[in-house]
Amino acid sequence: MDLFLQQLISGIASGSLFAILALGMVLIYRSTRTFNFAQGQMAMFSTFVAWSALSTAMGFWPAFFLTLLSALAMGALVEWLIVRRVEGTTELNSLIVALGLFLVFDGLALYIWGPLPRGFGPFSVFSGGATCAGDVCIGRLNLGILAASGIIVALLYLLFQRTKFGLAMRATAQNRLASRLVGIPVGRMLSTGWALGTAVGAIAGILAAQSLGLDINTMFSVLLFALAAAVLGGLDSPAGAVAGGLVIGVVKNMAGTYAPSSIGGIDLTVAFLVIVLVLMVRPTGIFGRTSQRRV
Amino acid sequence: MRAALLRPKAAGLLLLAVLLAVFPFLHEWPFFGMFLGEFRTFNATMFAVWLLILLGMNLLTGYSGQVSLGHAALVLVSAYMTAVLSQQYGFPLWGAIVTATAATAVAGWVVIGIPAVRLRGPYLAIATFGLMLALPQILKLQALTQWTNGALGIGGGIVEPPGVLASALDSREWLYYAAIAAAAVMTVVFVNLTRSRIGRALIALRDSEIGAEQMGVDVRKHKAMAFGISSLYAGLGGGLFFAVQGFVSPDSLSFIDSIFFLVAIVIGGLGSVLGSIIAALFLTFQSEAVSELSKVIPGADNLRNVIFGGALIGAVILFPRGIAGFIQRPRWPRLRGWILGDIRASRPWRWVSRLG
Repeated sequence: MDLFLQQLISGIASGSLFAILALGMVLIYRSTRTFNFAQGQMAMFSTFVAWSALSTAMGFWPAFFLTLLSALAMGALVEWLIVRRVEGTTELNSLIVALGLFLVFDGLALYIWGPLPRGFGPFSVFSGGATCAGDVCIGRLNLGILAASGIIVALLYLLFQRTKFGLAMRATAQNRLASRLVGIPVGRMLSTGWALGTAVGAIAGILAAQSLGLDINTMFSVLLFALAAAVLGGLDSPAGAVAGGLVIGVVKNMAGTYAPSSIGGIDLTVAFLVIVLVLMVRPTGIFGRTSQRRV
Repeated sequence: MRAALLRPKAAGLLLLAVLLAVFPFLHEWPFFGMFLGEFRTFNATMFAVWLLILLGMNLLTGYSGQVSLGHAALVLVSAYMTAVLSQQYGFPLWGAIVTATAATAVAGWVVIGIPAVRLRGPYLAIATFGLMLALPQILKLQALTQWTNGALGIGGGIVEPPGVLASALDSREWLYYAAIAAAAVMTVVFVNLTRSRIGRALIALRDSEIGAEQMGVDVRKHKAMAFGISSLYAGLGGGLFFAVQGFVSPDSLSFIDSIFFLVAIVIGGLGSVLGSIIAALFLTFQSEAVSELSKVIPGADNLRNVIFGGALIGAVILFPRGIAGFIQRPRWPRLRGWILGDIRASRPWRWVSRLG
């Protein structure tokens, strides 16, 4: 039973990482209907920005906020300069653009920072002894990831539900033409969606790299789980992405614990099976809106 | 008959056929030997393999409008089936390739195509991308190692030309003829298919699913069929991939290759046979071109993905029909009017001044 609880807790902690990576994808999908395959690589890029800032002997928090600002700017620029050019054409075009961004950020990071892995953290905020309740323990890093995800989700909830700006963003996601008619600057809302999504991704990258190490392939190991989380929740539901991430984290940990070790690693296979099963039952995810079809 | 041969198109095709037929021996000739090495025969063989795979992918994406990022997975699975059948179950190589091709086609139609009918754009891309990310791990599963040989992969022997041909051709030349013949036949099939009722139905449903339905196209059947036919091409390509490379492992093709397939057909030209041919040339020579470039510009090999990613985005925005579309109908994008005009229309300076 303790083993089960222990795995449940660490599953939730790693799941919250998948949750915020998926949350970034959902924010972007809601704004321009682009599924951002580059989310992982953009997060990796931002984490390298943080690494560069830290290597100038900057403190953790200044480097963190610098990274956040650069990620916001990067997301907005990508939307404004690139994604907007294929706006309103086909789904195929926006997918192709997202894959192009994947390659561009992958290549840029390789060119600037090289292929070698870099040491990254754990920072003093996230290091220290484990916190225990009975026999069930949670490491400081995992606790930090859990707390950080909680804070992000709370802040985004407040932004979307309690401010006029958030209302405008939700309106834009729902009906662009009507939003334009009531005077919402739609283009700016779309850029903001990308900016927020990229910034959330940057935080996910900074959290992930502390346990995974930092190199250009860092995010591949979490990308599939984040995809599974986004699909499970439905691409246009932020709450769904968070719930999906937690479920995937727990499922992944349980499969790793209880599957016989003789069959080899199965975590990716399990994530893929979750995607397939969910899509068989609900083609637009569990919390996703089913879209109407028009000519 | 003579008049038909004199038409430029027929004459061109005839010339191409002659060129392809003598290509493996061209490097021994005095003039061509100056710039053709023996290695070009291998290049040409791989070109044929890529062409088969990309024709299939173009049918799926360019004609029926479905995006699969798992196409390399189908190729890899078929290569594995060919390897297992030929190395462990004593199938002759050609028999293994035919069986694997048929199995991949059926699997693509039934297991992927039919469920995929319900999925819209990004969900299908994610599911196939997931398959591609998970496949290496699936191939390494302990339960399958007695067939797949785990991470080590499966090696094949040297392919000897059969019977009478054995004295005339060596292994490399025989593989070239086999692959180029398969690619040529399948290209002709492809051209006829896309001009048939099925091809027109696919184009119609790509442009408007509901519109096509109104015209009496069975959308579900045709979408699944597109997946099946495209898997057939991927399967044949995969079988030949194993024969030509003589080896297959879980990491022979990765999701980066899947993305590169898409890069290739978008740059080459979606929905066009010429586009697939240009795309196959691109895949054959891209790594060589990048390493040549890095001799001129240091560090260019590290920038490979930036160049191709940028080209992909640029192609979608400026040349939506790719190189093939541009050749068939040259039309320069109006750069100033389009890009600057759009940015000007969004008036960034007003935003800045309002902030200040």
